[in-house]
Amino acid sequence: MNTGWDAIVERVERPSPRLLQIDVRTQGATFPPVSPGSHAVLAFGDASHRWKNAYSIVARSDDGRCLRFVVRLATPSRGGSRFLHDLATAGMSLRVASITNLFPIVHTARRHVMVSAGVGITPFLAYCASFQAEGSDYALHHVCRPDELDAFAALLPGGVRDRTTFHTRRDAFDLKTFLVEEPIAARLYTCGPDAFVAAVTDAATSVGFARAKIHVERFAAPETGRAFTVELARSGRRIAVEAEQSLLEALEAANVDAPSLCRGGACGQCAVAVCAGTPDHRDHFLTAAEREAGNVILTCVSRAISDTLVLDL
Amino acid sequence: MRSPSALPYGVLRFDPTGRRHLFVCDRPTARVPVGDVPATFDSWTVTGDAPENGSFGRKFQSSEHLLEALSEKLSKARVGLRVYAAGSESFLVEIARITDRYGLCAQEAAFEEPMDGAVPVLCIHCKTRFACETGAFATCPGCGRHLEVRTHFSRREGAYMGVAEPQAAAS
Repeated sequence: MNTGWDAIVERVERPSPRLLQIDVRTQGATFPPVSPGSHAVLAFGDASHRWKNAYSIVARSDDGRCLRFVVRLATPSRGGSRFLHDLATAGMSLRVASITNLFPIVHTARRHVMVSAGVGITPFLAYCASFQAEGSDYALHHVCRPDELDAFAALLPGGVRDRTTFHTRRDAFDLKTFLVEEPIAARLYTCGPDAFVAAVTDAATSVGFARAKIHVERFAAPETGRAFTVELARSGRRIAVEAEQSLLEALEAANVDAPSLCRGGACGQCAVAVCAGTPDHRDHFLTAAEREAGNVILTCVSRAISDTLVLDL
Repeated sequence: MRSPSALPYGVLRFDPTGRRHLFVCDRPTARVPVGDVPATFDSWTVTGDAPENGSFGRKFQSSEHLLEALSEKLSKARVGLRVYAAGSESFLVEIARITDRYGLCAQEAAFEEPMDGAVPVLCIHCKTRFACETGAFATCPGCGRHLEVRTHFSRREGAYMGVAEPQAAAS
């Protein structure tokens, strides 16, 4: 089983003060073919702190040896984006821990409509490159700050600008006005912060989009919360989970072999059985019944209501 | 027992998340979907040569006319449309071929349980399409072959495949 790729930063560009475009080159095997919508988990840091964060893959070089990412300086930042913005430079070592696609294009669709906000545009940069190459019918709507419009426009692949509408005033962005005109064959894709994605989904369903035709990727970074203790039922080990640290990060820091994949609460791969304690569910994967039962937790984003959580690890 | 590859037949219910609703049927006796009737509801019915039989909405003399009109409508349809279909299985699979062509998903195109027992069959040898009233065997009206009607339904073809066993092929 592939355990990732050792890599280095090959090139860094700064389209705007808050946007960092970073090209990463493998130091070993080539990266596999990457379908639009894929993301990679990058492991990076220094002696004092290590991060594992997921970023959409914007592009893969033809020879398979480079991947391109765009990282926005998050506010507030848990440190990962700040580290990259401040310290990423050509030659810096990092690791591409995994590559996954949880947000693929529906290729049987006759028209594709994408709606994004901020750095949520990144999967659509790959989408649009594919649509352009295939001559697909598509449209991109992107919400951003006025001072970042030029930077985002510069990221668009060739030919995409004519299919893109930028919206710089979120309060004036009447999405329903656009969506109600879409042909019934259209598929809607949206990516961005939770509240934005929820608003887009609500607008789409209000004009009659079938739920199965709305495809969502959430950029759900683990939120901070109250510190608590996790106890591993099989070994009896007790590990402190700090307020600024996710449960998964605490387990990894303690060298516990905890499963994970998307690190954003969307895929369910990090699910672990709960033996005792009350989970604080913050994921987008478990059903309401599973949450109510309280006997499983997604460690990448969820926390604990109780002071101690006992896991089947 | 119906083939697992058959269309997802079920009880037709109005989808409240839709914005415009169209009910299509191949006979006046078909029942409209259950649930509160939405304000934007239209009905298309194949009435044959007896249009004055009390059915409401738009009337068509043949299934072919209705299918042609549906294709025209869906080629221009916007999001929010829901299509509900009732009638024979042959009628329903043709509706499905059109809704598939224009990209409607399961929530947007619903199909009632077929109202008669005839199934659409495609002879793989001469490509004749016909309705088969009974069981697992049929004689192709096109080439005369004695066909076994396979249980797999091809949604793309809109029919069950009729295959002649070598020893049963017409000479």
